[in-house]
Formats: sequence, structure tokens, C-alpha cells
Amino acid sequence: MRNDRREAFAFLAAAVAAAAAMPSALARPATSDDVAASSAPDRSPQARAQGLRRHFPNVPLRTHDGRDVRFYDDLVKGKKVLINFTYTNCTQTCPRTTENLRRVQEILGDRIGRDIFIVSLSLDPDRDTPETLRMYAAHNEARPGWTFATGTRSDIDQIRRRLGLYDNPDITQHMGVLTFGNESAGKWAATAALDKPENIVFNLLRRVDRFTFVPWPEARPVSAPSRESERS
Amino acid sequence: MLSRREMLRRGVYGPALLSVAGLAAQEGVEEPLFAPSPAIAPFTRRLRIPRPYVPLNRPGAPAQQHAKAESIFQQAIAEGRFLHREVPPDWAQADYYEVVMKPGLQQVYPGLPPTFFWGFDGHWPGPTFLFRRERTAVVRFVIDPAIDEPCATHYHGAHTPPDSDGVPMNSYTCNDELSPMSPRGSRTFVFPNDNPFAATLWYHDHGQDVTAHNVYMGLAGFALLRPNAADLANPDAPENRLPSGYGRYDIPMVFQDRLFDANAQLVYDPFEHDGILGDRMCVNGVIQPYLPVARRKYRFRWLNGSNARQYEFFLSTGDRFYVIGSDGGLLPKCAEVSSVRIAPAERYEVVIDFSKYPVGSKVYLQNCLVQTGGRGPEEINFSSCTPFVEFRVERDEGPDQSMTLGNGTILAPEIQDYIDTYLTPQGGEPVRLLNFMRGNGAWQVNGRFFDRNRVDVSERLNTRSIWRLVNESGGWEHPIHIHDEEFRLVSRNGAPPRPYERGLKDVFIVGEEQSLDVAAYWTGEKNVGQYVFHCHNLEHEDMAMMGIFDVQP
Repeated sequence: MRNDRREAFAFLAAAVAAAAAMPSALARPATSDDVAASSAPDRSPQARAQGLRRHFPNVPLRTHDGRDVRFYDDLVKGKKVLINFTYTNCTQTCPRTTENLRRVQEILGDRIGRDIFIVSLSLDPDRDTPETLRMYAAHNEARPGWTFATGTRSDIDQIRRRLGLYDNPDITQHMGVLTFGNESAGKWAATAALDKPENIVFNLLRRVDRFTFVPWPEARPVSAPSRESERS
Repeated sequence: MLSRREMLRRGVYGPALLSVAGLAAQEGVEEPLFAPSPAIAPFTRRLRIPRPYVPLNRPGAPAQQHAKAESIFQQAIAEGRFLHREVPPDWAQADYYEVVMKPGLQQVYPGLPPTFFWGFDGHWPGPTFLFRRERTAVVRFVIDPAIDEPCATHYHGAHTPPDSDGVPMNSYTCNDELSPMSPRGSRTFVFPNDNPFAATLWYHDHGQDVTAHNVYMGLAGFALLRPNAADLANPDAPENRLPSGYGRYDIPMVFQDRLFDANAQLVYDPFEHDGILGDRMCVNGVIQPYLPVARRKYRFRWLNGSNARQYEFFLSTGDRFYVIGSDGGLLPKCAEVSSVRIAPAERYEVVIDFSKYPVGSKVYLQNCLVQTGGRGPEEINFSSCTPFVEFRVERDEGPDQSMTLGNGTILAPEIQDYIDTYLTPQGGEPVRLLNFMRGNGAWQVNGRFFDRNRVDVSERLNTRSIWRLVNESGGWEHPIHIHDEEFRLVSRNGAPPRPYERGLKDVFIVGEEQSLDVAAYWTGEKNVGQYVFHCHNLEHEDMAMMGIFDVQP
């Protein structure tokens, strides 16, 4: 309707006049001060990743395969990774989560250990020694690329807090959430650890690989995910 | 007032820091992740009014813009956006727009570097769409390559066919080419604007996994769906007699709490799953602005554009004001109130009469609802109010011609008729029980996680149903948003809703242990297919606190 356009133009004309009268009132073209201060923050993937490092405390951990590692440097940095919290004596959600992760591992095939990694951190360091975790990993047929790790209770709790997964000091009530991301790209998300493995993989790959449009609703064909080399 | 030591012990650093620091404080020492925002003198910057978009194909526009409008039409056909009609409409019967999501810089803090953000056409908030009811708008939303996340634009509150509704599952990126006629990184959306009633709607990004981040970075703006000529035919219609003039006496205000770092850059935590809070109160992208006003009535369109924070707004004088509209249109009857509770994504239209204040007065709009975590507000505390806007009563303009308002003034009998006819339970309507739950820290509806291939509720056109929204998630409040239609809140725990909740709404704040009955009526032969409902705490939404409903003829 004409009235809208008249109103819009009247508004814009008034805005221009107001800007002339009171420069600070409106967004304005850059001045030399802006240029000097002009630090559109670095939005490169490296900068994004750097900005998120505080969420991955570089605490010491011991893995199920006997390595001494640092959480960020060795298990997260530069990787596409799925992180969950578990403990071997957990009788409620953890067995189902671990079973889900087995299926995720199966679906992802040899991408696990090549460019996608799973890190399962124990909430029960007193009982979950590296030896216990080694048996647990073997029992769950964890491939290389799926690491179970243990550390001090307070270090593990610090990781949980930094990942937004500290809900309750009682480990039997821990959050069944999978955090996953592409660390180099600085892109992260989270999903229910007890969701269907196919859904977990679908969501994971759309976040850690390049996101592409997929029409919805449409029955999603169930198929093996493309190798990374097919996605340029 | 808490001592600094006590605040440290309790982890109270101001709203931004509870979830990490507060919980940590229960266990002992942990440095908070984020420092409070830099200080800033309030009420030294004027409220900005977002500029309106103008259609590309308006009369008198340059030929190049008309040509672009036609290319948008061709793109919409190629993308199948007109599937719900047999023949594409006469392209000239719609308004065409092209909007680019791109970075921008805003001088938020004087003396600090400009704040980097993401904005529609590089503005925060986005420019305002001035739409007319029943006038189709076709918009090409383009993702600038500097925007490195998936995007999807949702026109919130609009009655839109499913494939133009902007859901996360239909997100695209700057690299996608959706059809041979689609410029890279762009998608068209067709908005018939055929809501039954004019309303204060809005639009915002809804990208897969990143809605909370993208909206927080600035991708949100107003879309005012205004009455058309037929709606305004009666000179006594309230829409002809309320304060008017976009940016003059009819003023949009979007409230967003934000956290800034020492260089005035926005701070966002993608691991804060409870819900992000900020400690600087922005209105239209300005921290605690002032607004000069005349001694007369003003119409404000309030939008809570925060990710998680709820507000309860009072005037500093304690005076009452008038609520005249809610999410979906004018209230059938004006409600005179001393405060309004507004949850994320809700809109309320209010009229404030400044004629009672002498020139030189300052009146503050303030929030007195305390909230320290994303889970929900705590309580109203009048010694803890935060002022948002300073109204400076600075001039007389003579008698105000807008209509006189009082408690119960009839504003929209046609909306009351619609509610009586379609949104009043008659007995026998199907009841859709939607129990929002937390399963081991992940969100569920009726005990199930979201599945993009599973329909949770089936509805039929031209039928009524009741959606029973239940919150047994234990210690959380959830603003539940349902796409496609406007609805009515029938009861909250069996009791009537607040007077200003008695109109049309599309967002329903479900508190702890609450059960809300929401009346629904499904309309429109173009509005057939799958839609979503979800929590509008955006961090919850990104964690798939969502379900799918399907509307069939």
C-alpha cells in the first residue's frame, strides 16, 4: 500500500536528517577513530577455535591403552571428536550410551581413528583405573580412535563444567549428553547420548563435516556416510 | 546487597555467570569463565528505531531493482515455493525483497572498539518489515560468505506454508545452490501474510544447531503485520485510533540481554546449555537508551528477543499502563496493569500515557524480575530493578487525538468473535498431551527425543484441538512456541490466564509443575504439511527440545 512506502520513506528521510543533527544517534559510516580501533575481531576458524580453548582444560589423563595424555592437546586439538562421560559401574544410562557409541562406531567405520574420534571420560576415577577401562574398552570392541580416559575427580569435573554438562555432583545422575565438534573449525553442538545412533551420526556429520542443505521433510535414505574426501 | 566475597562464594557475578560459576561455587573454587561486561553510563545514547525495508518492486524503484524482484520470483518458482497454488501468482501482486545476512559493526560502547555482530542487511536489530495483511511478500535471504554457519529465517507468528516457515531442518549455507535459478547461498521464502488479524510479529534466524548463537549475534528484527484497507475501513476501528506513525508514536522495542568482553565484543558460550544470560540490557541494540517523548500517549511494541531471560516490566513511577496487544494481535479488551511478564519470543503491545508527567520528568521502564540462570526467573524484587529505558518527557504537543483507554476498553471484538467461535473448547476436541521432560540432561517430549523423521502430533484443517503443555522437567521454565497459527491460552493449572494473556498468542511460558491448556484451530489450504513446536529458550531449542506436527486436509 502506498501509505507504507510513504511512511517508510518519511522515516528514512527523518533518520537521515536526525543523523546529520546528532551523529551519535544512528549507525554511521566509519570515522578515522573507527578505522584505528577497527578490530572486527578475527573470525577465522583458528580464532574461533582459540576463543573456545577455555572450555577444554588441558588436564592430565590416563587412557585405557596406558598413555599419559593431556585432554586438549592429545584428545581434542585439531580433531573431529565426540565426548561423553561414563563410568564402568554405571547401571542406568551408561550401558545404553556405550552401546549407542558402538553402533556409531560401526556406522562411521574407518573414519573412527582417522579423522573422527570418540573420547569417553570416566566419572569414577577411584574404580575406573586404566586397567579397568582397558577391559571395558575391549568388551565394547572399541577401535583405535575411541579412547576411554580417567583423571582426578576435580579435573574431570572441571571438564564437565566447561562443557556445560555438570548438573549434579551425584555421578549416578550425570547428564547423558554427547558433546561433539570440529575443534579446528571451532564448531560444536550437543545431543542426547541415548538418541538413535543413526540420528547421532546424521547430526554429528552435519556439524563436523561441511554442512550442506538437505531438503526436509523427506525420508532420509539410510546409507553409509561419504568419506571425507568426497566432501570438498 | 551481597558483599563481593559472598557473591564469589555463591557464584553470583551478575546474570551471566551462574551456571558455571554458581554450580562451581557449591564445590569450591573455580574461576568464572567470563568477566562481567565493561561498565557503561546508562541513558547517554538515544534509542534507535530500526529502519523499514522497502520492496524492490515499488513504483518508481530503479529498473535494476525491478529486475532483481523478477529474478526473485523466478527463483521462488524454481525452488517450488508456489507448490500450494496450481499457478504462480501474478508476480506483481506481491512485494519482493532481498535481504543479506552479513557481519556489521556497531559502536555500542563509546571509547571502545565497535562491536562485531551478524545482522540482516548488516543491521542489529534487523530492519523492520512493514507488511500488510493479505499482501504476499517474497523474500530472498542471502547468506554472505562471512557468515560461516547454517541459516534459516523464521517469520515468527506468521501463517506461512511449511516450506517457507524457516525451520532448522531446512537450513542452508553460503555455499548451497538450491536450484538453477538460485544465486549461491540464497533461498526464497513466500509469506502470504494471511494471518486473520494484524499483529506484531518478528523474524529471526533458526539455523540448525546454531539458532541460539545466530540470534545472539544479532539476527533478529521486527515484522509488523499491519491491518489492510478492509481492516481499516471503519474509521472507529481501534487500529485507526491508537497512537500511530512508525518510529514516531508507534515504537518497536526489542529487549536483549548481552555480555561483552573488555573490547566490547559479544561473548557467547556454545556450551551453556541451560540458557544464555547477559548483563547489559540492550533495547534495539543500544545499552540502556533514552527516548525523548512528548506529553501524550505512545504505542510500544515490546518483543523479548533474549535467548533465555524473562522480564517483568514496571514503570519507575509505579504508574499503570495499558496492554493493548499480545503475540497474535490486539487484545479483545484492554488490560490496565502495573507490570507485564514477558518471556523469550513473546510480544506485548502497550500504551503509555506521558501526559501525566510534567516536561522535564524522567520515567524509567524497569525490569524487577531477578534471574540468575537460564533455567528460569527467581522472584520479583523491587530493590533489584534494572532500568532499561529512560523516557525523557521533553515537550508538549497539544491534545492527543488517540483513543482513550481504560481497563476493559473494547479493542478487537472481531478477535473475541474468532476466539469464541474457533478457540473455545466445545467438548470433544482431541487433547494433545505434550509433556516436556528432561531425560538425563537431554530434552524430551513425552519421553522421546526429537526425530526429524517422526511426526509427534497429527492435526486436520478446520478442526479444533487442545494442546496440553505440561512441564515436569523439574526446576525449569520453558517458553513453548508453536508454529503456523495463533492460539489461545485457556487455562494455567486450571485457573484463568492473566488479563493480558487472553488474546491470541503463539508463545506460552510453562512454569515449574504447570499444565497449560492451549486451544488450537488449524486453517488454510496452503498450510498443509509438517511444522514444528519447540521451546524458545534458544539453548534448549538447539538441544532439540522440539517436536513435529503435521496438518492434513
